[in-house]
Amino acid sequence: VRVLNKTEEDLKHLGQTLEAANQRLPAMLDRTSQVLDHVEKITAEAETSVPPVLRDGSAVAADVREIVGGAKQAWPIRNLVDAPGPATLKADSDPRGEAGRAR
Amino acid sequence: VRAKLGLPLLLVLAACASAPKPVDPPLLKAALEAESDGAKRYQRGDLMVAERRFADAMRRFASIDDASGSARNRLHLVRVKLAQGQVDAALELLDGMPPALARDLDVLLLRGQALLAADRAIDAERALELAAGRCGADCAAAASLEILRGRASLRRGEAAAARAHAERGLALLRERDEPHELGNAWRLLAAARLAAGDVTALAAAQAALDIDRRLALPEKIARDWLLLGDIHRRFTPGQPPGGNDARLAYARALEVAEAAGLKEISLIASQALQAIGM
Repeated sequence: VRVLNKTEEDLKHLGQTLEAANQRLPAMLDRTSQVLDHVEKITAEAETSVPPVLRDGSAVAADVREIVGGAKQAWPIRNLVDAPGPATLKADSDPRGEAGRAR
Repeated sequence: VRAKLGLPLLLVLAACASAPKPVDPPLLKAALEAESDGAKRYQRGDLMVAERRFADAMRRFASIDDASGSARNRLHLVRVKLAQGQVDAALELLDGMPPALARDLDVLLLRGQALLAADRAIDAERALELAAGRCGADCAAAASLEILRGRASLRRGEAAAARAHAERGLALLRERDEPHELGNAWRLLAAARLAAGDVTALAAAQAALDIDRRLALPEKIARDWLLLGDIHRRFTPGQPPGGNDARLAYARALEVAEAAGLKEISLIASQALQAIGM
């Protein structure tokens, strides 16, 4: 009998909990929906305002450069990596091939 | 065991006792790295990024009062601008060179090149004459100077002089690893021979095209095809003018230019095709 009484109490408690959850659920769902709407809006805005190339290649390249640059500045790697010397570009007196057809 | 432990310990002690390696100051290192990265991009034909990196390097060198580094990167930028066809910007950058360096050989050569691109042949010749005065017996830029002077001669309508400059340029380039200049010298020779009415222009233009194709340079390849079309048009009899060879050459120029997004050359090739009734 004692066990049955305890079970009845537990069931009542569960019922109350479910009722409370039931009351709060619509509000929670509304909030989740608002958050999702917000995320969707941000994504859509990013889609239109950020060019695809920037999202992919340049962003990755910039990140990689930053990481590699950061690593090169960090001790002890900075002592191991020599700075490059001044650059010399290959001679090209007609880079657009204009000599063939004088304007 | 003592020997086994002793050796590494000895090495560690020796490493600690050795003089520390001199390290470049971080800001100088960053400027040199920007310059080096710009040079790599330039060689790859990635001109927009090269431009940004050289501009960054120029600013960084200026910020540490390194005038020669700043001037060097300014000249790199001039080369980028010329390759992009932005002649006014190139001349503006050259005008901004420190007065002490304005008469340097590299500066004068680039000025001559920019002025030729701007269709200012007389001013270009003046700059190139000054450059010739600074290019001695073992001058590394002698071949470039010959090519530029040849182009200036061709603009003046002096085909024989242009041809002589091109041939001297080719002779100077024989033992050198300068494939871009070699292609330029052959192209100039082809144009000079065409202007002189010499049918061997065809072989010279073909040589330029072969080099430019090996180097994978779309703009030069397209212009070489245009030149080949002009040569066929001049020397190949038949209808349409230049026969089928001229039509094919102009069509190839158009195809390459369109694939590479070179609007100016596309237009020239289309007009050339129209001119022979295609």
